[in-house]
Amino acid sequence: MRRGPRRLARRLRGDRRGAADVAALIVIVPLAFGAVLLFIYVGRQGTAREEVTHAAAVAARAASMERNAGSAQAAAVAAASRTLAGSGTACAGGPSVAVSASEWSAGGVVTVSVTCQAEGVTEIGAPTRTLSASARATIDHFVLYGD
Amino acid sequence: MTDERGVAAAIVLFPMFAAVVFMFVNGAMWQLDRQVATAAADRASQAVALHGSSVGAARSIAVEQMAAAGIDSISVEISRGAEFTTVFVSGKSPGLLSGITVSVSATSVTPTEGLDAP
Repeated sequence: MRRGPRRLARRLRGDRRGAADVAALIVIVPLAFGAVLLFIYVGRQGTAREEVTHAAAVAARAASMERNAGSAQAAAVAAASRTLAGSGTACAGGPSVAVSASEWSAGGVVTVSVTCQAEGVTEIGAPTRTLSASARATIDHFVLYGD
Repeated sequence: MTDERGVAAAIVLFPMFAAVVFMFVNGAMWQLDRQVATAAADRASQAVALHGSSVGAARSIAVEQMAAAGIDSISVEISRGAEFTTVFVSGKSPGLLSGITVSVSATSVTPTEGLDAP
């Protein structure tokens, strides 16, 4: 009768059943959590890239409705800022907008580049990324901005 | 005697795996519907920004495009300013499981166009 508990204790000390489950939990739970955060990070970056591309297109259109470099720059900055703000895309320090044109007259082509420092996901140490896009628009013969 | 090996995995890991997969699929579906909403807002915004445009026609463009993608409870807000036209659309898209809906919304900004003498 006395051998029973001792034998059981010896068996329990050597019993490794369940250890694999615990190890799996320790490894898989953080991995799953990291995968979720990575999914969020990639989704945010993809959305931000789309929005920057769209902002460049809107800014190019706005710039093409002007007739000189100064007003085109102001219109492009306003258009890009409004577009990014409307979509909820945050750029650290605001978007950077560069405007150039082949000629400031009807038929000329305006090129606008928008650069945005998109925020990362701090929980997984994902850094801020620089996203940039450019778009071109032709200066129309008759269309001007405003009513 | 029941063997309880693997119980922890069954109780914790499987539901967690299922939840993560569910979230990924639902997230992908939300992203697709968001793109539909963005495209609808863009089209409506470009339509309203034109010289002599009709707000009602632009609104119906957005509603039709979103409804065709299965989005309901559609709301379209149009603001036509002197410099910029802004369109905000929102709606509810069906989720992965029956009874679950996900809110989608999008905003589009377009320079307002006018006509001036050349």
